[in-house]
Amino acid sequence: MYSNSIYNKTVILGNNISKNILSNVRNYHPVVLPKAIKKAKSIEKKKKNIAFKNTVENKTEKVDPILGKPNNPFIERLKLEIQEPNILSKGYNLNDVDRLLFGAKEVLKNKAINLIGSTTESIENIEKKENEKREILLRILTLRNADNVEKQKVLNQLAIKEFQRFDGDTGSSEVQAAVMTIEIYNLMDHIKKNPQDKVHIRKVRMLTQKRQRILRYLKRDQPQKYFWTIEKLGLTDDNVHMEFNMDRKYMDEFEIWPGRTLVNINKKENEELKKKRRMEKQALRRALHEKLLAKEQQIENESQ
Amino acid sequence: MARLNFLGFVISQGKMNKTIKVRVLQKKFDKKVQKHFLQKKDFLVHDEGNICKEGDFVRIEQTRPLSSKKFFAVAEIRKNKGQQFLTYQKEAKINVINEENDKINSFKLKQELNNKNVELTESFYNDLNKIKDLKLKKELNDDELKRINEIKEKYNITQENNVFTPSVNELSEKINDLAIGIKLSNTVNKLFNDESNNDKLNKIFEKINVNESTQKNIKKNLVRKYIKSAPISELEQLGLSI
Repeated sequence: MYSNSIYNKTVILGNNISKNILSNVRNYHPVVLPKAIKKAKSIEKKKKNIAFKNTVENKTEKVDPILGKPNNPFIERLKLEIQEPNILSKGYNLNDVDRLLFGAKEVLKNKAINLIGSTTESIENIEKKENEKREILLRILTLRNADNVEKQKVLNQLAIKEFQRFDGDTGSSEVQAAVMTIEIYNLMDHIKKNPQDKVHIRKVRMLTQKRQRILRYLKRDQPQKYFWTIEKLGLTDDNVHMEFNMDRKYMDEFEIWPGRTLVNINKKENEELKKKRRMEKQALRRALHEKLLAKEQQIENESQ
Repeated sequence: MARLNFLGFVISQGKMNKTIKVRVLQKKFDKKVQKHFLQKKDFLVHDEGNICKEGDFVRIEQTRPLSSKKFFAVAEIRKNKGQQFLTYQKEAKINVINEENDKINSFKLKQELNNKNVELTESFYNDLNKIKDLKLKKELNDDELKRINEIKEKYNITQENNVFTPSVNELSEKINDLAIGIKLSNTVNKLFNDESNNDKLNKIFEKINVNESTQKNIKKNLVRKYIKSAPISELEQLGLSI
């Protein structure tokens, strides 16, 4: 291509000048560097590339693919919400229970009044007994005294209410993802207490992979909703698309059981790590040196 | 010669300056298995200006070699899905923070109310007792009126009559519905039980396309539905009335 253009120029220009240019072309030959310098240059280039790669890697925040970002406000609020005193387990509503108990008490009282030989004392006794009954019932039914299964059910219902598209919607992708996250949080609490429970570790792995699949579908289906849900659940886009195996490396990295080392670094990996650190240091030093040089040059320019 | 043209998705961007990676999917026929397979091939593509984003659907075109591994350039962006994703992500971050703040504030308000209601004197059970006492009285003091207002505020009650006694209109509507239902069932029973009404029944069956083989209860239901929904003129022709 380049030779062609030069050839065209020669045709257009006169003979005398063309000779000149041609002689220049003949004289031109690319600068051939010695092999050693070439090698050194390539090594430096590669080092620079690796340093750049490392900086990019350090900049991206690492988010737990199971639990998401720490202190997720959505999950924390739900956990506070089930600690309220007036929530009953097994789907009962406090006001409904109160209404029923009040009605029962009134009926008993009316019966007692209509009986012959009823006194004010007997009626008061009935009221006392009914009040006691209510206290006992509420003690049985409060969510504070309920087991974990009941609490989980209430949590699920609260999550569904926030994510549903219409009333009674339990099947849309974001609802499924939210319910799965609540189950995952529950199981992870269990695993942290019982590190030997291999069955539940497997369950968590399968659940997270299922959640990934469903969220991937949601991204294809309704991208706007997808980004809202992952933001709400504390996940990132990378978390959804990454290959996730709940292996020891993951457990070590995110400290599921703090104070335990699960993966021992072998000699080769250790050397690589050291090399990486060395390279980072060198890159830093080089950058500082370049900055200093630039400053000196600036001062010289100003003085001139 | 025509230049090579491909369509593909951007799968990585921002790692190299002015370069993106594009995945091209193509159908290939395997001679050995006699079957079509999807073949995927990744190209390094020149993107002057760094416009493309991850997830974009682009057309790429062959150029002269731009570097040792790069001989394609972006010709056009067919669908700027990547750009859309980025905007959605930014919107979602702001929306979720606002939403969570609102929800936590409303929850705290609810929590305060609940903390007040924990005391036995203010539970719903005891409020019912109070209401019963107040209802028995014919004339109310200022003190008692105040108490009524407090209870109303607590349960967000605005209208006076609607809560304790259902409105007369609602009751009358219910009674009307019940009366119509009773009349309907009476007329249907007469139609089915009296043999003299067989002509009328057969006419109705023709209208709603009912076979003789269908069960009696289903027939009855269908006739009931028809009489309920049919216009009055048609019913008069048959000699029926509700």
